Amino acid sequence: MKITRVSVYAKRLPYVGGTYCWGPGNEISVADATVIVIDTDAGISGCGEFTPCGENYMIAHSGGIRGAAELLSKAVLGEDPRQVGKIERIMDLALKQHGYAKAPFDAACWDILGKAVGQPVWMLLGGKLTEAAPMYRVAPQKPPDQMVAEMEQHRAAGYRQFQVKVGADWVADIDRILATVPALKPGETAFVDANTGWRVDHAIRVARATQHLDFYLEQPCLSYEECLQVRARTNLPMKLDECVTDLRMAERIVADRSAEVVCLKVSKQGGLSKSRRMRDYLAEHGIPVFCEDSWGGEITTAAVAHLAASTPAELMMSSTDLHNYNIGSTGKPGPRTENGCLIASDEPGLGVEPDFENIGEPIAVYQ
Amino acid sequence: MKISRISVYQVDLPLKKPYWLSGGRLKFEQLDSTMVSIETDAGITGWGEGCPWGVTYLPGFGRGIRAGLSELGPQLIGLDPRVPAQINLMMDVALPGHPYIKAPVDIACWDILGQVAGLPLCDLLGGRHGGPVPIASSVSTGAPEEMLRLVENFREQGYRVHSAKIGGSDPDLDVARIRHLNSHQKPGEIIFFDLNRSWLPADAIMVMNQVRDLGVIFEQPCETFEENLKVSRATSHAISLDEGIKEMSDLVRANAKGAAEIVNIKVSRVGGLTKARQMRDFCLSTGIKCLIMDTGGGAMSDTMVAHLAQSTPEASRIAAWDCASMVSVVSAQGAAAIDGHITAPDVPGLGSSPVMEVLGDPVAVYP
Repeated sequence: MKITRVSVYAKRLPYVGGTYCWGPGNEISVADATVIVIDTDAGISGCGEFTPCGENYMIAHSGGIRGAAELLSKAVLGEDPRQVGKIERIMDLALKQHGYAKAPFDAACWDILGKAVGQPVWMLLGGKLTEAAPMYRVAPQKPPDQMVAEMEQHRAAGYRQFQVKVGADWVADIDRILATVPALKPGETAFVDANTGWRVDHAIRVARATQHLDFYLEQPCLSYEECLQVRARTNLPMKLDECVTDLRMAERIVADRSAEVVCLKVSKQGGLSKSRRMRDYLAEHGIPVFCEDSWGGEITTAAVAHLAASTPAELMMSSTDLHNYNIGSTGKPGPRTENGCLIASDEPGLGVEPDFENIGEPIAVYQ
Repeated sequence: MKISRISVYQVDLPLKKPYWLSGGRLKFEQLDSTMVSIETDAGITGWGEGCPWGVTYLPGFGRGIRAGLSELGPQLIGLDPRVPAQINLMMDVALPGHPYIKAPVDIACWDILGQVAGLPLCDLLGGRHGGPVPIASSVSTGAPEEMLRLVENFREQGYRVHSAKIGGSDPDLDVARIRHLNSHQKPGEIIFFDLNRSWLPADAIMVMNQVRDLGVIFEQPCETFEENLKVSRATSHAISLDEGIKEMSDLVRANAKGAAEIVNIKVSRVGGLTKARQMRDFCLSTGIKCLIMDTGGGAMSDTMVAHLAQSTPEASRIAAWDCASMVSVVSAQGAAAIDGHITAPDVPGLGSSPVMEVLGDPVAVYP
């Protein structure tokens, strides 16, 4: 089997809630999705998607993937997409880093492999170790009482894990934490996520002011070293996200015992192949994970669902149905959600097809 | 003073001879350069060049620069280019990572600052130290005799520092190359051996220990920080780190662990002059010697490198680098390699101007 064509699509996805505020004063209201479709000489096609959370959330931008797509396409044309390990090496040789651009190519190849062997991707990633992945809901940065009200709405919809967004104003953030975390019901969990926004001393002061409460502190500062410094001064369990870029960082986290929870975002890690290795490594060391991505529609969320489904249940902390954050779609159907959980498709491959009506004509085709 | 317009040009720079790196794994024949002009409301224009060495050597590719500039360009309009530190802060918030995109913008801002101050960049970066700076010649991988012939050619032209590219799957051949070149080294000459990450620690330790009687330098023997550290601890030669030093935290860590005696600062790799200067100064403070280079380009890049190298005290600088002599297109006027050495020009700012007939029309203009 050979890859015969790569098509690149661009799709804008407005956020259902209007404007989404995160970290140190950032906003997103429309996301720029890029969908990659890989066609083969066997009549099987696969798809992948990369959608950044705005252009400055992590080391990734939508222009970057469209620039890299030509390079990556030329490298994989004529290759066998079922050999996902080989494709991964070909892409890493063709372009250094830029994992976010490689991720949709990697997903599309897993999609093709799954269809070729008649198995859902979760089967190829180890099996269904999690029947239904619990999901969290975000309470974006707003005045505390509005955040509490939003959490109440999510609770009514069946969610039990909440991510409280902070990071733009450490003083107001203390009030946000003091308002939202005590409102949790038994069995619920809160992650207070600064998305890198705090300075070390401010993070320490926030942690000190809220240390009597039970929540996870997530990525308080920009760098790994700064988060380590905060960790040394607080008893709060730590979740790391943005600084967890690759397997090397996972190795450091294990060696330093510097995080209780790690967030895996498929695009941030460079695709399913790399995410899976990190997930397995962390699982080996008893570190639970979030399985998600930066943003995205149905195709992104399908890949996320397969990673989540193949994660040991006791270590599969949370996921999220990114496709439900958007107006508009990149694929169909999106993964099923039930009782606040994300369920991966049992169809061969990713179990999602590009929504060609919605994503329009390709912006580039390589063959 | 405000940035009023940014123009982006694309120039193909064919190499006069094909070039192999990293144990022969990577081949280069043409470079894709991006040259950026920043105009101001004061009528002063600054220039910078960003030219990755192909797309496979380091994270960075021409189309990626131009994709990133489409994101950053509009956000730079109206800012004061005379404060590169602020420009860098803005760019780092607007587009995390991707230092190769930011480098030409940063350099153009320094050009403007120099012109405004009426001083050459070397004076602003630390002062003019010594006379002409030695350039490290690039001795392509080959049989020992071929490599010596190349060294002799360069020697005749006045070069006295040579970067000999070795590595690959034949450790005995590498030992032969090292011994052959070292035994023909002239007094006052430095021949160092650049692996460009092609060894695994087992190969590195075996080869380096076989030549433990020789006082030679090895550059970037292995891929990862941990691998190079392991090699450094098992051998006695001075180690130069190049590709592995991407940002300040890498340098801090390398110094803390004693992983390198020399660092090869390639300005585009680290994100421009502001960051390169910060790293160079850290090296001066910690007794690490420097090679000052760039990833590629024409005389504009070479001139920029000459300024940073000229401003590095002679005892701490081993060599600079030039690329214009390797390419068959003249894209700019500026400092040039003369007798294997290069001197920073003594005019305000960068002191390099593009050859507009070669640049042609801009591929993008902001706003």
